[in-house]
Amino acid sequence: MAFGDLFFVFGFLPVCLLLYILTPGRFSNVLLLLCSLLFFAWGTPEYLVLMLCALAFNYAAGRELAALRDSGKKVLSGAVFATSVLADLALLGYWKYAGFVLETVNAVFGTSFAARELPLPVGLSFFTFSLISYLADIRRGRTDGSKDPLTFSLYVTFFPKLASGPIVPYPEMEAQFAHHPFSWRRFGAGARCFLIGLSKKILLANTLGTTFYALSALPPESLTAAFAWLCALSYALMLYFDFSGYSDMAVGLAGMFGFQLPKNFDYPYLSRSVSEFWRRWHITLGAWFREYVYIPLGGSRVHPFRIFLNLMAVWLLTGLWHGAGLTFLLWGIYHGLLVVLEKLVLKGVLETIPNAVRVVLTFLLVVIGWVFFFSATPAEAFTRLSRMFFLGGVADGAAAYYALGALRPLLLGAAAALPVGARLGRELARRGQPWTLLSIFYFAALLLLCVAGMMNDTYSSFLYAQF
Amino acid sequence: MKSKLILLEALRWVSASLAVLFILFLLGSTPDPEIPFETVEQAALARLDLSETQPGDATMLRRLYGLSASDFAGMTLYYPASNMGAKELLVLKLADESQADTVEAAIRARLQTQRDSFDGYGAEQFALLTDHAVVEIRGVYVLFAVCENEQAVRESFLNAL
Repeated sequence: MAFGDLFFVFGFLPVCLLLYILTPGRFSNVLLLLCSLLFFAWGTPEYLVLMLCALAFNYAAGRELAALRDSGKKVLSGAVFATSVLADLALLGYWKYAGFVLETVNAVFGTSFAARELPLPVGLSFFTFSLISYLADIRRGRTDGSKDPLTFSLYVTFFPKLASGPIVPYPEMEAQFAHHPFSWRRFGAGARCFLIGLSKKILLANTLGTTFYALSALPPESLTAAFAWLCALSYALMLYFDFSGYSDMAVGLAGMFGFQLPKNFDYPYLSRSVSEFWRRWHITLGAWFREYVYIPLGGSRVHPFRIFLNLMAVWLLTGLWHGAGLTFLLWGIYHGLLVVLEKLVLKGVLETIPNAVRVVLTFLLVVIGWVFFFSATPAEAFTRLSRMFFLGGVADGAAAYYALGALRPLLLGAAAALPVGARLGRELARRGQPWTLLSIFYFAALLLLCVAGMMNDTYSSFLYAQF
Repeated sequence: MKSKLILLEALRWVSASLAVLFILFLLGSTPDPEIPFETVEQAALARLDLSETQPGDATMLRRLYGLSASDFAGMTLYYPASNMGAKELLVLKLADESQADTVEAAIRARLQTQRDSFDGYGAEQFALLTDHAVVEIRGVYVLFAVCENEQAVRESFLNAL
């Protein structure tokens, strides 16, 4: 079940909301937990056993860590923390990396081990990171964790953030579990946010997806520069609207139930450097790596060579988190090197470049990175990159034909990636009633268009759900 | 304090052991991905009357299901030879099991489209689509069949795994 399904929008969500409104406040967390477990188990009910084991394991580990920390038993606390994190990572590792590891072993040693793959549990990468941050925060004394197993379970499985984040540390949600009253004002704001996200997914990402999948089906060797760039640009915009659309929906859904989740995107394609891009794209994942990997490794307060190693470690892990494959590793290394270059080499130089030039350069560098991200193999990625840099000619008649077809979704996507629409909306809301009425019509029209889109489309899952 | 810690440690070990046992159980009940696609394909085709159908290629898979053949490790499609036909067979070998949800949703959408086409128009075809359609996903293998003896096709498919 995905947020963009008709069943979710007109079945699961309204029933959950209705029950939530009717349920007395003291039982609302229990209801939300049941809804979340149902959401998790929808496609693969057998995984409920696995989730319950993970919850019991980490709840016990959290309570143990808090008790050992308070009694000053550092060695024992370290052992519990290390074994618990290893167990969580083993779960993630088995599902995401066993196939990749065996493939690599087979390629290196000429063996023929076969991985028996199981479907990926919903949100595995995301809830594993929530669990690790929960244990780390208890160990560091940022929180005592939850004494109530139901609250802890709701923190991990809360369905608006379960499948693809945002990844929220427990201390940021702790107070909300005790108090998240339903209010129509919050509900309205949440519904608006959800609808904006749904529109990004159905009207923009899926339309750009049609362009991207048509272009990416052409053999990479036959591409001219115009084709190769069109393909990469349509992917860049599709991925942005797909994931930022999902994140808006998650934030909106949480708002409808009285919770506040942090935003995950802040117009990343307007960034003036790659480092800034990563503070505006998938913000909560970047924050997680900074907080739980980069800073514990020493962060930026160490020798420049150690900074280089720390940054590369973070970016290798970021690449691997997105997928088990050489292309993701290369993508991680590419971004790591760019960030290192900005932090250690170009520090003073970047400020001298005009902002508009920096935005364009950053955007182009990010688009080049996405080529590794969407290519099936490193060889394909390098072929595509060579074509983008004119090794297959500049353009041909077919490219012009495709470009004309792709122009409308690309221009629409580019316009929607700017903050103009949101600013206009805020300005109109400030001006009062006639504009409020207009906005009601606007959102009603969006909903109708989305429903039409959902009915016409064959199923289209969220791209980040596979990471 | 000490007894509480022992209890929590026990809970950790029990839940971790249960998770491992559960994964082993799941692995035991998942078909071997090394079974050749041809074996599974032939098993499904053996029980199917192919009259009134025609073989489909990647373009037809895209047109009828919105799926891209290059995403899969194997594909066989037979679709109705005429507008008044409803008999259909699709056998897929997924590249990995994470594709299962997407594929199942695409098959359900195709089935619904076909039902809508014949609803109130072709009673025989509507009945075939309603009462004799089967969707089976086992590991990386997917079967979708619409035919009079759909259960025989299903059994043959499952026996091959």
